[in-house]
Formats: sequence, structure tokens, C-alpha cells
Amino acid sequence: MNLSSHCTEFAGHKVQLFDPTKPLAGQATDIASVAWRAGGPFNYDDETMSIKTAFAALAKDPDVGQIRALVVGTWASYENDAPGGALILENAAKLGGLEHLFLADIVGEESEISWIEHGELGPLFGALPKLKTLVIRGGAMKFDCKGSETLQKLVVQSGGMPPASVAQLGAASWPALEHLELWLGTDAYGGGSKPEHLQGILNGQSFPSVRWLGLMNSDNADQVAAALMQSPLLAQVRDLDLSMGILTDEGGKALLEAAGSLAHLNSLHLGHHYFGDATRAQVAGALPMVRGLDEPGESDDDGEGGVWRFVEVAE
Amino acid sequence: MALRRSRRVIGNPGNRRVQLFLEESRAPGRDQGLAPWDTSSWADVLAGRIPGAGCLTRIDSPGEDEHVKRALVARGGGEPVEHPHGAIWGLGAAARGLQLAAEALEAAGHRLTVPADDLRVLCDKHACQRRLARSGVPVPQIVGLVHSYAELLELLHEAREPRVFVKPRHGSSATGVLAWETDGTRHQARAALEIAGTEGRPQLFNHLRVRRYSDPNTLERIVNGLCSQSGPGGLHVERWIPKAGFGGRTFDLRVLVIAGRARHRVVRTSKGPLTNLHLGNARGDIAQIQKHLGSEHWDDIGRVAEAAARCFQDSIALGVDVLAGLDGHARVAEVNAFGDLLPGVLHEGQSTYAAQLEAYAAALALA
Repeated sequence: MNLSSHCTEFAGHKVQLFDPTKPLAGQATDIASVAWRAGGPFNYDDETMSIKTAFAALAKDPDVGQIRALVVGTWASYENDAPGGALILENAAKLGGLEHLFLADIVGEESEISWIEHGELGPLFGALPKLKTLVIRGGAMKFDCKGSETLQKLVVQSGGMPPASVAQLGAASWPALEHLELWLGTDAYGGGSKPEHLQGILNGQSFPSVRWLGLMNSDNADQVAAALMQSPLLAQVRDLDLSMGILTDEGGKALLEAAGSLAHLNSLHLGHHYFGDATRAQVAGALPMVRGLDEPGESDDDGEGGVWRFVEVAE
Repeated sequence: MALRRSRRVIGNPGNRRVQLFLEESRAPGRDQGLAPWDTSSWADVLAGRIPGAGCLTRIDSPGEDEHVKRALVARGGGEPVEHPHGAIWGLGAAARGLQLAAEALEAAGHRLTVPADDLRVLCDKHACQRRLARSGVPVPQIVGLVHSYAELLELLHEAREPRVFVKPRHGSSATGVLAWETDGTRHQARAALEIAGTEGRPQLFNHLRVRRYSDPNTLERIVNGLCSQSGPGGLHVERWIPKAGFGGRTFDLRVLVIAGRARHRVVRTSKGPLTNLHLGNARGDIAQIQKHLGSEHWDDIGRVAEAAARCFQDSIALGVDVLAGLDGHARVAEVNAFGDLLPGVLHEGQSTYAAQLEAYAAALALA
């Protein structure tokens, strides 16, 4: 999944664009085996392929309950169109069969990730009782909720995940969640979570089943790494992703000092790191499960003695 | 025999464009029995030293030379003040100066590879796009033409366009191009430029990396600064059509159309909205992109480029920038008079210069 092309596959299902002018039944032999895309490429002059039109058609379709996987396309924030989450909630009763949701597959050329504003998404979990996979792309989200009994995979792709929303996740209950991936982002775009916002997650109680953990794309990657090394959650994780953020020698040191606690990991992703040569060599030696050492982050020399480092995805 | 009369290239002699062209013209087996190409500098032409006309005169880019820039500006009626390297200035005057020089050459009997009439439109993004649109060539929708920041805000508000490109009407490459977005309240522009200088006298500079600007005061300085350097022309505003992506990057294509046929193609990729090889963006793997787009879209790109070139029928070779839209439709972003600097790129075994030399010979044989 990358941020410049629409996905062709989602949750193991091939993505197919839903044609709102025809019934679902005629568009695939097995409705449940397709990941339906609601909303085509954004077209100013033609509402036919808007998500508004797509959801209006789905709401009336007799087979909408068979949909297992849904990919939501772009909406026009300028027009104050209802964002994707609101349309899902409006139609949740009809989408009772939904297990996998991608909200929303919007690429950079359609909108900057920081301009995709989701608002309150908490009610989604209660409204979709079979939800197993939720991928959210964007920012300005909130999670006022108790959690989910069924959710197995949660991914938030963001240049700035509000710290309050991170804390909300930590305060809720996710007994079935195996994959937790949060792109924490930078405070320049509403992100910048620090260890205190992650406490609810790191103490492990809310996420007893998590085996794949990503705390990524963080401005404060060093602090996050250090806090994670001290946390009860680490022992149950098998694959850890700390990539895309500003992870420097300081964070590297925290990892090296906790090498014993990391030995059980299958993989540790550190792509886009900012290690110096010495740290890089030490990490390679002490932590054989590390990936991404050969993909350091870029720095910007401002020509005035300042070096700027960035998270990988911000805008 | 017409072919025995002299041929001339006018450019900035030290520039690799001219060097590469001359090298190709001297390749073994090329142009048997013909005299080598003569060269003239834009500096001389702009100083009024018009060379005698031969049977064909190739004009190449006058860019990348500060002295020539000042001479162009002076010829175009502007103030030829020395500016720091990379400054964005005199765009309107320089375009006018080039136009007048081309007309002077034609008045002296030169047959130009890009005739002055075509050049006038090619060096004016707004006029060019209007011509293409009128001829039915798919282009991003024109939103309007503005002469100030206030006018731009009003235009965007009335047109309800959330994302546009704002381009100085005259100017090359990505100079002064703004990728502009708004939700009706906040505005933001990304551009390969920076502001230096004092509050009262801001100076805009080309910058190698794309930067983003969202402070209204800064946006005002940028837009008004670009307007003041664009002469009376103003800034062209067009809809931002989302581009197709591949491998985590967006891309567009430069297609060289020679004698009406789409030939060399180069893919320019970018992590952001501005694709231009000068900005440190990478050339893409053309075979991969071709496969990714599929043969229908690929052919469409060539057809659209050829349709654009037909709007300038007397120009022998043109560099057409084509957008592969996210919606599967190809559109022409720009047509360049001097868009053939694609070193190392071959089509049917020929470099861009070899292919043009062949086209020149054919054009002359018909004369």
C-alpha cells in the first residue's frame, strides 16, 4: 500500500470499483469475495462516481449485506461533503456483513493526507459488529468508544495523529486485536504523541493479543522507543515496526540497551532511521532481526548550519 | 540545390544543448556533402547582429545565461538589472525580448525551426492552453488569469476550485509554479521557490526543493511578487488534475513530437505535485510505467501529444508534457519550444538531435 496509487488489493480481496448505476449482483459472481471500492477518481464535473452517489446506491441495493470488504474513495472537503466515516455510519445497519474497511484510499494527488479530516470515528466499532480490519488514512480523528470485541487489525496512516486520539485507543478494550499500527506523525500536522499519550497502549492491558506492533512515523521516535523498551507490552510482540520517524542514535542506544528484551522478535523495522555509522554497526551486530538499516532518512541542510530531519509522511 | 545552402543554429554557444546538437550533426554518415552547421549566439542576435539567412535556422533555448537574460529583458522593454543567481525576475520582458528577436530573424529571411508565430503562443502558457482547448486537445480546465493575490482568492472563491496550479504566464520549467490548494478558508501553496529580501522588497528565488507555504502574508508576497515579474501577462490558473502514481511517486511524461509523430518519451517522477527533472526528481523506468498504464492509456498519451503538436504545424519538433490522469485520461500540461534536451534517450535508435536532423532534411527536401 503506498500513498500515490490506489490499492488494487485489500485484506486479501481484489479491489473492484462499484458501479452505482447497476445492481451489485450483476457486477461479480461472488459479492463477498470482492473488496468493493465506493467512489471513483474524483471528478469535479460529474457526481456519478462520487462516494455520495455510491453510498446512495448501495443503501438501496438488496445485496449490500453480502459485502465483506469496502474501500472508500475521496470526498470533497471543499464542498463540505460528508466525510466517508459519516456515510459508513449512516448506512451501518445495511453493512452488517462488513468485516474489512479502508477509510479512505485517498492518494496525494487527490488530497494531502493532513487535509483528510475524519472527525469522530468511535461509533464505527459498535455500528459494525463483524469488523475485523480497519485501515484509516488521514488526520483529525477521534475515537470516543469502548473498543471492539472483533477487531483483529487496526492501521492508522497519518502525518499527524492527534495525541488525544492515541490516548483514547489506549483507554478502550481490544481483546482480539493482533495487529496495531499507528503512524503517530509530527506536531506540525496535529501529531507528535509522546510516551505519556501511549501509556494506555504500552501497559499492555488493553491489547492482550497484539503480536504485530507499529509505532511509526514519529517526531518523538527516540522517546517512544525508550518507553516501549520499558513496557510490559514488548514481551508479547513478535514483529515490531519503529520506522519512518526521527529515530536517532539516542533511540538506537535505547534499543541496544534492551537487546535482551528484543531477542525474541521475528523482525524489527527501522527504515528511515537517522543513525550515525557507529550506531548502525552496533545495531546490525546486536540485533540481527533488524530490517531497513540500509534505508536511512533524508536530512535537509538549510545552508545556515541547521539540519532538518523529517518524519517520512507528514503532509 | 537548396540543401547546399547554409544551416544555422542560434543558441548560447557554450551550452550543452548547442554542443550536443553540433556533435550529432557531425556524426559520420550524417548529411553527406553538406556544409557544417553555422552557429550564432543569442547575445549577438539580441545586440542587433542578425546573421544572414540560410535555408534553415534552428533556434535553441536562450536560458541558463545571465548576460543573455539581461539582453532579453532589455530587448523586451524591461530593466536589465543584475540579479543574484536563481532570482525569479523579468519573466514577461524576457519572453517579449525573445519574441522580438525571432521576428527580427524572420524579417531577415530566416526560416525558423519554431516560427515566431508559434513561439509567441508556446512561450505563453495561457495562450497555449487556450489554443489547445479550442482545438479539442484534452487539457486541464483553465480557471482563469489573475494579476494579484486578491484576484486569485476571488477567482478561486467564485470558481469553487479546491486545487489549482498557478503558473506565471511566461517562464520555463517549474519557475514560479505553485501547487495551490484550499478548502475555502485556508490556503496553501507548494512551490520550488523561496523568498528572501526585506518585507518591502521581497525577492523570489528558484529553490531546488519544493517548499510549502500557508501563511497568508507569505502567500500574498509570493503571488504579488510573481505578478510583478510577469509583466502585464499575469498568472495562469488551471485545475489541478490528480496524476497517476507508480511505486510511491507521481509522474508525468515528456513526449518529443517530431514532424507530427510522437517519438522519444521520458517519464519524470516526483514524490510531490511538481514533476520536473531540475528539481532533483528522478527519471522513471519507462518500460515499467508503460506496463503499469497499459497499452490503451500509453497510446492515448502519444495521440494526445501529437494532437497538441498539430496546433503548431510549422514547428518541426516540440516537447509536449503529458499528464497521465488518475482517472485514466491523458491531458497535455504544456508544450515546450525547446523541449528536446533528453540526453541518452533513444527512439528507434536515434537521439533527439539525430531524429530532428533527419526531420530538418526532409523538411528542406520538400521546400
